[in-house]
Formats: sequence, structure tokens, C-alpha cells
Amino acid sequence: MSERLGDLPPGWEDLEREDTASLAPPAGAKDRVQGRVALTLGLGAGFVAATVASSTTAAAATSTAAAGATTAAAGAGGTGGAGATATGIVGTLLAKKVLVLGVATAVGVGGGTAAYLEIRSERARNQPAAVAPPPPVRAPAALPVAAPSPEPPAEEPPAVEDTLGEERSLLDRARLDIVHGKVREARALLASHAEKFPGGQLTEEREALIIRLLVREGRLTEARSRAARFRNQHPHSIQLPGITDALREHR
Amino acid sequence: MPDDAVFAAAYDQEFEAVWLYLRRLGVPEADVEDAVHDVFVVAHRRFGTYDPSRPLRPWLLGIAFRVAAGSRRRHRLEVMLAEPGPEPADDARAPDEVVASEQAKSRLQAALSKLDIHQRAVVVMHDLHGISVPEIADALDVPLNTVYSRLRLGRAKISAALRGEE
Repeated sequence: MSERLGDLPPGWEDLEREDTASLAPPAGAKDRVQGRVALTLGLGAGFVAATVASSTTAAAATSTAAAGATTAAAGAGGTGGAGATATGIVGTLLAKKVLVLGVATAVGVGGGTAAYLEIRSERARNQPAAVAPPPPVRAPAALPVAAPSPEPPAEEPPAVEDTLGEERSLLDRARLDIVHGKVREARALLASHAEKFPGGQLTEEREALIIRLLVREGRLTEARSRAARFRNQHPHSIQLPGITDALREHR
Repeated sequence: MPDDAVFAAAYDQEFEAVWLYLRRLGVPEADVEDAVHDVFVVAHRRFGTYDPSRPLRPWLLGIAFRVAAGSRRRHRLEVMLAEPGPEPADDARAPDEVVASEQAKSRLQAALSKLDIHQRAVVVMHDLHGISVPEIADALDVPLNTVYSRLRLGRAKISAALRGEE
């Protein structure tokens, strides 16, 4: 394959890591953009208000829009009202066009909104378990509990974003290795993720990569049986198309 | 239209990849939030054309490429329109210094800037985001052999740039 593609420059992984670190989105960017996307599309007005309120840079530009979205959600009975609301949005031309569609559906999507919020609050509930496994109990039972601890107080658990970043970085590197045929490296990265984050936030993605790796290694029977189990456990996962695709390419 | 929960999950999982891809295509930091926003809005609008039997990320990055290419065209137009105006007096940095500070950000960014946008789109997808060649061909709607040749040429240029050649 490398004859056809040419070789990667030496030290590629270091370059890639350095590049990723220098370009990573700043804190808050993900929520900020999500708020704007949801607003543009008319998804989850309550969620949008909460997200946008905490944003500093987008607040001025979107406050009009937030008011518009609220009006639409509360009172719009027909598409005429929605059209009028769209003119209040300060955004891209595209955003305006889509909002007319988005608001029209938003009026009737209480269920969808609830689902949208649910997925986030469910993650919030799961996070403590995922990022803060119970500390190993090392103190002998006879010791009084009041012994001063040299450890920093437990008020500052590791930031969720930090561990998520580490999880994602491990899996992104594994994905890259799979595509470059570096199966041993990929396997090590996936094993390391499984060891560090057994109940992590990206376990579905990890399993999907393991299946792709198995396909790449030619272990098709194993790949198919894991894929079948994955499909049973996560019938609505957005990883499923990728898995199906990998299996199909190597049939 | 996608189900809200499906779309939210897609956003959650793909936000960072889309962000990085746009930055690596050369979208400036000041514009990248707008560009990511546009990518997901377009994705939502075109969800009907997404084939759910294919993986999501290549499809999204294909949209990101088109958004980035469109914003470059607009930007170039703005630059052309602005050209007759006087130079802003407070920007004391010489062009070389601007380039140098760009290079200081990442060696890879400097090397990538030697590629044309089409080569860059392919190399970044394949070598930095782990997308396979057939997936790239599908996402960018170009023939397989074109992807191979852009990848080969792009890699050669990057290697040369990293060695300090032009």
C-alpha cells in the first residue's frame, strides 16, 4: 500500500500530537457551538437558553435569537409566526433559512426536546462513576478516620473534560493506527483505554474500534460475533454503520 | 430530519473531529466556531442524504471540507474588495513575522500550508483522522485513484517541507 501512497514523514505521531494539542478547542467552545446549533435548528429551547446564558462571546449576538426561539416555542401556532421569528435571528443566511423549518417542527417536538435533554442529563449522572472510581482502601481498619491526610481534599475530582480528552486521544490514535495497518500499536492503545477507563464515556466507540481492528487482522469470525453482540447491546448506536461498513469491505 | 437524540449524540461524538479538521484545513481560530456551527446545521438539513449504512465521520468531514472551501472563497472575495483601502497602521508586524508566528504554532501546520486545499483535505482525513481511502472517495465524491494520487503528492510535499525544502 505504501508504494501507492508514499510514506508518512518520520516522527509523524509526534507531529500529530503536537498539532492536536495546538489546535484543541478552548473550554466552553463545544457547549457554545451546541447552543448555537440547537438554536438555529430550533432544537430544545430550554436547553439552548441555559447554554447560551453561560456564554460570554455569543451572548450579545444570540440574545435576540433566544427570545425569538422562546416566543416560537411558547406561542407559535402556525408557520406565519415562525417566519416572523426567523427575521429576529442574528446569524448566517443559512441559519435563517433553516430556522423557519426548524421552528415549525419545534412547536410539536416536546418529546424530541425531552430526549435531547435526557441524553445530556443521563451522561451527567454517569460521569462521576466514569471518572471517579472509588479509591482503593488502604488504611488499616484500626486507624481512626480522623487521621490527617496528606492527599489534597476530595473536593476537586478530575475534570470530566480532562478524562474525556484523554479517552478521545487514545481512541483517535488507535483509529489512525488501524487505518495505517499498525495493528499492534492499535491493540496496545485500545487495551490501555480499556484498562484506564473500563466504564468510560467512550466504551461504545472503543468496542467499535476493536471490531474494526479484528477485521483488519483478518479475525473475521471473532469480529462478526462481537459485532452481533454490539448490535444487541446498542441497537441505536451511531457506531453501527461504521461496524457494518468495516465488515462489508472485508467480506 | 434526524431524531434529536441521534443528532445530539452525533454532535457529542464528532464535535472535536470536525473542529480539528476545519482548523487543519486552515480555517482561522476566529472563524472556526462559525464553521463548526455551519457544518452541523448543514448536516442536519441534509441528513436525508446520509446513508446510515456508511460511517458518519467521513460524511461529516466531507461537509466540513465544503464549508471550509466556501468560507475561503468568501474570504478571498473580502480580501479582494478590501485591497484598495489603506493598510491598517497598527499592524506593525511584517508578513514574515506573521508567517513565523503561524509556524510556531505547529510544524505540521506549516507543512500543510504548502498543500493545495484538495490535497490537504485528503491527507488530513487519512493521516490525521484515520479515514480510509474508500471512505474519503465517498465523502468527497472523487474517484478512488484521485484520492490515492492526492495523498501521495500531499505526503511528498509535507515530507519536503518538514525537511526544510520548498
